[in-house]
Amino acid sequence: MNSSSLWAGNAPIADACLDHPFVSGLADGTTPLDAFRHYVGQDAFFLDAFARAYALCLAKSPDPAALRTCRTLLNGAMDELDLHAGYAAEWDVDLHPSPTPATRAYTDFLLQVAALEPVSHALAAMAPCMRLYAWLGQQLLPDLDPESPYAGWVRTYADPEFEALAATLEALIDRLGGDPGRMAEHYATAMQLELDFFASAHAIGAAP
Amino acid sequence: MTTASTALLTADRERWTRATTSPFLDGTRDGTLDDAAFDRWLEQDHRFVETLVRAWGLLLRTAPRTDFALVNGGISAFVAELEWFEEIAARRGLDLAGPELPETAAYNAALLRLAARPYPEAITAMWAVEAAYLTAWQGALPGAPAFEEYVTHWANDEFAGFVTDLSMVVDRELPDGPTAAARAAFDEVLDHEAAFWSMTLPG
Repeated sequence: MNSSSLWAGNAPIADACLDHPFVSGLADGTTPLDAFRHYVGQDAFFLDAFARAYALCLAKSPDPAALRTCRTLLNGAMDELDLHAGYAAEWDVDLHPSPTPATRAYTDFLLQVAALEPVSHALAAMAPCMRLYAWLGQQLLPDLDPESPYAGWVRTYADPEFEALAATLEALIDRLGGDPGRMAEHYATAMQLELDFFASAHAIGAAP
Repeated sequence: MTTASTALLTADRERWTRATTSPFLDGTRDGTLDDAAFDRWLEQDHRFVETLVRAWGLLLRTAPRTDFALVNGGISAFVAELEWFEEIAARRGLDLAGPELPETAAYNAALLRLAARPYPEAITAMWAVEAAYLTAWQGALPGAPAFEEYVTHWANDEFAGFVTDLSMVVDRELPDGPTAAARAAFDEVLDHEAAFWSMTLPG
């Protein structure tokens, strides 16, 4: 299963993420501040698990080239965590929150696949987070209101460097291969968990 | 109160000495080491670092977030070390894909097992690896002309700082001193270190 067909096969969920008021509101600034603050805290919890899943992939890498790629991807996740520390200071966010059910479902899923299955299967579960965010950033950028308080977030994920990181991960998936059915299942599960993650942040942060 | 790292380093002086001294190391200091023995050892050390990177991946799985930068820094340093080995291999004609000697295989298996233990034991084991390695190479300073480049590569201040950082994590993770499991992990690493130094020596 090729990474571009995995992505193409999940276009409806990608569109649903882009159309979600939490996401579209990042470009025009209408996402409620509490929703965004909640999201950043939960995303830090998520990235913590994401980095650990990359570390497991590194430990299980089938060859030296895969090991080096996993190290590059791990460094990217570490950079993102640092970025969240910056957001936390700016937005007064708790970076060590209790995970919501939507967050816990996603992190448990990733760590379980990374622990129990081959590296390529774990990467298929991790790819949506990278590809979806790169795509969302790129889609939101043309309509970005520079006055949106979340303009920095949009520019981070629209950046060519983030696109390159997503492409690096996808190239490794394509090189390693694996059980196509299982990989498609993991990819689709992660895409749905992404949508649930945005929806959960919006619902909790927007609650009166 | 004595810190856990100091307690471990001083618990069994003979074991520590066996792990950090060897005719192999003496040979790099006085220049008597045979080039072939050194090349065979380099090949095995490369196989060891390949596994060490993976062990540190397992370590990051359980590390508290406060240690992410340190553990990730270790992973990056060991990946850089693999790249250094490739340069050296090209220059010295080493076979980096050759088989592991039994001592290397045993040490590598232990590394992965120890790194998967609960974090306090795992970090103790990973610190023991680096602390023994640093002390061993510091004992070979300044190195005979033929080996000076290698001795100084392994016995440098930056590496020493990394080992100190690791010892502080060990002390933090073992606030009441070494547990029995931490002592066992430390001793196991030292015994593998001792075997590793002499495996390519004749006889």
